[in-house]
Amino acid sequence: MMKRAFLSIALIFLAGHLWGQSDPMGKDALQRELEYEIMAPCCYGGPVADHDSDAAQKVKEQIARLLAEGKTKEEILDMYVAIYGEQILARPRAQGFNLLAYIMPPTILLVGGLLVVYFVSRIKAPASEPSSVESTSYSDEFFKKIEKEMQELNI
Amino acid sequence: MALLGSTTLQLSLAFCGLAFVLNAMYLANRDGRFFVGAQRGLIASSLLILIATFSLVHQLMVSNFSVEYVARYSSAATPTMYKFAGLWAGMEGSLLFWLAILGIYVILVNYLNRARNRSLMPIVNVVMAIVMLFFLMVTIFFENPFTMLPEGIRMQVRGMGLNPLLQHPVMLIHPPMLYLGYVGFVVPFAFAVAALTTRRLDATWVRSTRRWTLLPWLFLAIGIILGGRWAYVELGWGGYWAWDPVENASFLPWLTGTAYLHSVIIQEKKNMLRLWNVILIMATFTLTIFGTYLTRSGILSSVHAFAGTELGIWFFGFVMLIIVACVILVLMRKDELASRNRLESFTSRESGFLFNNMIFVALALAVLWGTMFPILSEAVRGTKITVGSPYFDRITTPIGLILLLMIGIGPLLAWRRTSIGTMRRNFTLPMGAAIVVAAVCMLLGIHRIYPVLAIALVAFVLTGIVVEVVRGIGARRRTSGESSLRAFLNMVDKNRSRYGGAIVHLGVLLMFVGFVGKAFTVEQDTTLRTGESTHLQDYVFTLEKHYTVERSNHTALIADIAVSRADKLVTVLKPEKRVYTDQNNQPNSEVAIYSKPLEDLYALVGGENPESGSVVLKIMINPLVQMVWLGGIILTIGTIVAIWPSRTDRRLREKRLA
Repeated sequence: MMKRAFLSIALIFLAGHLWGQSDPMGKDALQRELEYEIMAPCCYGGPVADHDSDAAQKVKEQIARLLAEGKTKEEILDMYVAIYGEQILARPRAQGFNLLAYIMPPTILLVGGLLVVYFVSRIKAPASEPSSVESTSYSDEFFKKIEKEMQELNI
Repeated sequence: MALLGSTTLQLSLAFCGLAFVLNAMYLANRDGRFFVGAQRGLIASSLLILIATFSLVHQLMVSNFSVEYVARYSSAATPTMYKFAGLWAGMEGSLLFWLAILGIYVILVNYLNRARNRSLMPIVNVVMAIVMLFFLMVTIFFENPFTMLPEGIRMQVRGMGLNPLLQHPVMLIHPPMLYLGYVGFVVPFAFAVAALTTRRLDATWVRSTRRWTLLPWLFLAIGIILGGRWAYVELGWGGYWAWDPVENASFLPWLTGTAYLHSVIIQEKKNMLRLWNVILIMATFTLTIFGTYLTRSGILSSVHAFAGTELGIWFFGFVMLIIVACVILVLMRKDELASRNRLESFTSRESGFLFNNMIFVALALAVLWGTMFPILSEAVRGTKITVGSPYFDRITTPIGLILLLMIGIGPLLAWRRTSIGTMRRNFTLPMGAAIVVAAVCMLLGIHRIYPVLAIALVAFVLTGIVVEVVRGIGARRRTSGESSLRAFLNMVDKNRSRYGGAIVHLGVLLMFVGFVGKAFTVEQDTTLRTGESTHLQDYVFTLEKHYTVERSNHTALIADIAVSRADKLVTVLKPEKRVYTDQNNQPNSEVAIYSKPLEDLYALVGGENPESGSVVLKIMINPLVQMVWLGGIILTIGTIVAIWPSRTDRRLREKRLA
């Protein structure tokens, strides 16, 4: 059961990653993606896609021109990093120290999951120990309670 | 009146300090008179804060620009209701408003516990007094809203006006809701500290604070959703959540608070997870203060800005004090907090709750990590980086989907142990529904993994809820012969927390459907002359005319855009570009939205080119956004159902009073 759960978690992350990688992109889609990847250099308050400042508009036009010139996504991002520094990217590149930004959340999830498994195993009653109450589904238990209450209230 | 505000604030500090000392004396020698004195002192302090708050509101209303705060956040032209909103527009007013809400909570907690929780209340009051003292000192000594402008320039000041972005009806409700949420968590936190201190660690404090936790949780949820609504209708980028640090600061305590609301059920039913619950509520309260620190210290703009603000250092110190005190207290009571009961199986509802808790906390830590990473990166590498929405979307989407899965699995598991038979019976229909919905999505041409997974999981959870409710109604009808509606209403009334929770889950499901819609947004930036049209999906957007209107504190450029589909007029959108004359001609866009149940038509005017007579427009079609707001309303209803006392509770209360 637990193995399956962890496999599902891993699959969800992997599937999302693969989907993100393999989604074929037209030029318009690439333009849109780049507009979400580059921050508005006026205030760094949001990606250029969401800004209607002159600076953001200028970047949008530049991106369109660079794409028309045949530049790739990475080349365009590199160009902006060279001009404005890493802060221009709406998300850090997954390399070097910044890799930590991406590794930590799934690690937290995995370690958290393992801790819960450990905790449940540690405080779980031994299999040989007889259960004081027969295992019933919550629903059955709940409906019995309802019936009892209704009898008490003479409904 | 400004003098009144300033004086009452200082008096309040004195009374609060006195209450703290009297409480300490009561705890030292158990003389009841000290406790009564401390209680009265704290209530007096709260009332004085409320008077100070009314005083500031009065200054704003009468436009007394000799008060610096009034001059900075309102003007004579500011509409009356937004003069009132000036109370929370700036740092000084926000802190005073924070204090006013704390004062209200203090009065309510003391009134409602006048004959209950006698052993806990002295410590509860000590904790609330410490928090109040801190905020009073910060407000009086660093951010006093009653500071007067120098005599010489008073007469020349006509007020800078309220930021145009804040001049929206939602802004009259959103900040108060957030503050009611933030501040409200002080109550369960104070009770947790009291339970630890007095060693009353059974489920009593948890039961006593159930509603005190649900209420701030609800307020915070409403505040967050309204914040999203404000961003959607006011900021003009077509979204409602940008993973901005300020948004994250409100989301973090909500996440840990949600985890706590789930895990206390285990403590109430099984007397387990006592240590975990104490940690969760402490973390939730700490995060409310930490959020204030993050957003007020300036540290997010640069790690070096931290030392530049005195307020930041004080908040940092207070957060550290809370953390250290909590850790010491928990370590001192570690043995008494240990669980005595045991779990029987991984396939139990208890385990389901634990996994659900772990995911909430992991999500909170992931968001915290992303929010803090730019500071860490700058400190380690000396390089400024941005961690924006593309990062958070990538990180939180899978965790959110796992959480959705757990929302579905949890209620399908039985307490103690779920037999194979029960599992088969409970899981077959929901899983079947999920598979069918996923297949339909694929057939409809949706091949993106996250949206398909999300919709399938929504179907899974929804079917689980429906099956449970239908079975419950059936059981009641069989035993009592009630009508389906009567059976449903009685069933909900008999177990309000359970079915209130199910309604909340329903609301969350709808919100997830709304989030999925974001993946299918289409937009276009275009420039049109009068009479020209552009196409977006099945719609034709035609610029009918554009004109300028002068209003009390702004000039508005308005574009009338006729939207038609299949040659039939759907609506006329009228987005505005405003220039606020009382705000140094600050521009602001007023979005035009036409909402339909399944999609929103969204238009924005960027400006006009006088030479060509053209207007720059941004148009969007946002599918399923309404589901987010509808989900929020259902979540609110569900929480109210859970909070409202059942008929049995009311009967017991009447009996007790009789």
